[in-house]
Amino acid sequence: MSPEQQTLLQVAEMFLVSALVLMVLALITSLIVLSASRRVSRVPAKKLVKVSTVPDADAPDVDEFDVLEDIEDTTADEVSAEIMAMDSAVDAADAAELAELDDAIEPPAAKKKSTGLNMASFTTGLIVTSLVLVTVYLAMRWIVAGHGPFSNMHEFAVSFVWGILVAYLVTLWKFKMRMLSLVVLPVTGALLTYAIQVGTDVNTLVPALQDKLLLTLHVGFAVTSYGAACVSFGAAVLYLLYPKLKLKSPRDRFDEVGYKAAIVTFPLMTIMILLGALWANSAWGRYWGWDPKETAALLTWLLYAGFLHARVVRGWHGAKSAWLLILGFAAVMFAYFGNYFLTGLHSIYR
Amino acid sequence: MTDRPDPDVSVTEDSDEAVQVSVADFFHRLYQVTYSKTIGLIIVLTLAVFVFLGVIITQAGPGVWDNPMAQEQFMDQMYAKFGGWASIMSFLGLFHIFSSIGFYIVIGALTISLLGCTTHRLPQLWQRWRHPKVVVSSHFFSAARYNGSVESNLDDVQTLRTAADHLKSKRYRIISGNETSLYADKNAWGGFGTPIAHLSFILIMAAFVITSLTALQQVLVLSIGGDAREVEFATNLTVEAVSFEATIDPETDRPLDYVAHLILRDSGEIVAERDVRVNEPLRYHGFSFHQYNYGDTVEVKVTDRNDEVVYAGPVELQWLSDNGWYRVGEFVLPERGIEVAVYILAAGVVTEDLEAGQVAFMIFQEGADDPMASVVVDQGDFGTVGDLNFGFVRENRYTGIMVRNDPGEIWMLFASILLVGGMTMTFAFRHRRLWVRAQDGKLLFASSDKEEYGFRQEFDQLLSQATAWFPVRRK
Repeated sequence: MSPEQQTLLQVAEMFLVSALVLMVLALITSLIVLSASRRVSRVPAKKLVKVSTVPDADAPDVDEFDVLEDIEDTTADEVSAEIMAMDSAVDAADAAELAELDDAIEPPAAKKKSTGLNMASFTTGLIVTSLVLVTVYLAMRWIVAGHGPFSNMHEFAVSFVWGILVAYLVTLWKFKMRMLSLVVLPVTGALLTYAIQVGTDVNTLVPALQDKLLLTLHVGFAVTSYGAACVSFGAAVLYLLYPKLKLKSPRDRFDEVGYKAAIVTFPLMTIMILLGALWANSAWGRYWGWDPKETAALLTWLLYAGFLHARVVRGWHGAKSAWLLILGFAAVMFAYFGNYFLTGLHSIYR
Repeated sequence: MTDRPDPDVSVTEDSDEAVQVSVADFFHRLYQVTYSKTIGLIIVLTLAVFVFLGVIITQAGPGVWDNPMAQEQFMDQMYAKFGGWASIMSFLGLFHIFSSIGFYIVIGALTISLLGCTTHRLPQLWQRWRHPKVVVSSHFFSAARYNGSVESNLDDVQTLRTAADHLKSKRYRIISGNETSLYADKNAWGGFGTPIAHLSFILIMAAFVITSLTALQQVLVLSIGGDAREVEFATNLTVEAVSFEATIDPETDRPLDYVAHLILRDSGEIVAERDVRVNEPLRYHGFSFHQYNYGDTVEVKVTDRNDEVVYAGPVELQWLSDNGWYRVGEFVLPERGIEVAVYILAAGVVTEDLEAGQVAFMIFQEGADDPMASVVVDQGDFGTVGDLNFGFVRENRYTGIMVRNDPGEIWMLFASILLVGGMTMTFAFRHRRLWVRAQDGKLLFASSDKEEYGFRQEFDQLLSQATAWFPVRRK
């Protein structure tokens, strides 16, 4: 490796460490927002009098971090009535008095709304920045190594983190469920810590991996499917912890997001396994050999197939469904870390 | 959900008609079992349990269970690991779980379940696609999971026509029920994705069966620069290894490349000549030639008392003796009923029995543990045992080329494409249904599809857009 490449890698590693730091910060801010949200949700609704924006029945889905929207529909009506009464009084007052009145009566909760939203946006900003840093890191490694960053456990762990962050942000954009970060960020943080700890050496590809197209496609599908699996895991965990966390989104939304993420996971995982079989056939002359790693992937696939059947045909929702998703993600991690403990167990004569 | 059989059907032994009914009833029940979704789910989860056991329990490699010596050696290791439980685990087939009876039963049950489910489902899907229920009751529009209405300033017929035009522009298929009601849907064919995916899974299992029953495979040990060797199951084909190179990264000791230059002949004619790497096999008329392994070899020649060649070729030195002194290879002369082990000194070892540049042939009766004779031979010489002369030609390197012919391969590829296609249809093109009615100056919408966030948004958006179709506010 040339000195320029080594310098490039050193810079890239700084990006990776920065991404980890930002993830930890994002997790802390998520916890702060959750804590603020829970504190405000305990404030009696009737105290939240001067509300500048009353939830509209036709408004888009509530934001987890929009603390004021913790007010239930019935209390929202009361608030509207009070506001109307205030509006009548205000008609008679001049603009200056109104401004003073506004300042005087604005409750702490209204200010908290602004803080909560800012903090939530700040958290998302941190996560997006982490994703950008991880992407740049992977791109730099790709340039230095001359092949996709999928050739060892370090590279795959970072790619896995990339897949999880992308899946999380897509889910956030689609479903507005920021609280998923409470589960997703510890997973990505742990994976990045592991990736840094395991060593950042750039390896040459062993002959079996020297099919750059299939390597990129096979591992690319693995990364995205495992990323979606992590999001479904996050939704399942939050569904189960819902009574304790007192989250604002309806509990069923977590159930549905878990399901939606699983129906993304399953086809991607199928394609990943099929591409692996195609590759094995090209490299070793057999498309399936009950190799421990491919068998572990099959186990994961069967668990997600079981989940989808249980959900669609047996109507499994709620806790049972959530536990299956947790089991599915446990199988994903089992397949991923299987390199460490499966090889020695299997096929003494292979 | 399965339909319950008619409970009124009674069976009496003295009634032919009743017996006929009971037979029909029996088969009907049997068919119900095959498409029972609960049983299907149980089968999938049972299969997952088998696979899980196969992952966590050490599995014997291919051929170990067919070879008593290898099996014994394997079981010794399992006794050391699991103690007395190893016998029970062996009895249960846990050490070769993917070729165990239990595994085959589960796979068979899964196949039947998938077939039953598919045959049961296809007519329903066809009905839903070609002949959907178009007109529904008024109650449906207030009780359906998704329902809503917008006001219209047009008469009912005009209102419905306007709605139909707008829905068409949103790529809904429109089926008119009567002048004031219609049915609209999207991706009606998407439901066929599930049976297609189910059938493709059956095809994948069929491909496995075809492979295990018909695939031909042989590892050819080719001496570098040596004679061409015949493919056992395609004797018109011969392969010759002109050269072989293994490139190792000197810094990391990691292999970088294995490349063999091969010449393939069909009936003596050269039909291909090229480099073969791990990911670049040579393919010819359904045969594929893969770079498999490489190593050292001794070339031997065995003749009978008339100097007729009984065996000639490289012997792969694939083992090391227990004491580490010798590298060992083996070949078989099946028509003579003997196995021959070839010993050569490992690098750096000095013994009194064997010198560098010599080979020891040890001759065994097939299946026997003790040799019946042995002979030490110098390079270029022959040694005689009985009526056979054992010659040591030279030491060399070899490249192992795996030759395969697998009729299941094309089915696996076809089934894989079907599986991905079926899943795409199922998950990306969900069947969406709408029932629409114009009534009393209102346009009513309803759908009984499953509750889903995405469709809920789509439905609400449709209602909101429908308010703009008529210059009246939505209620």
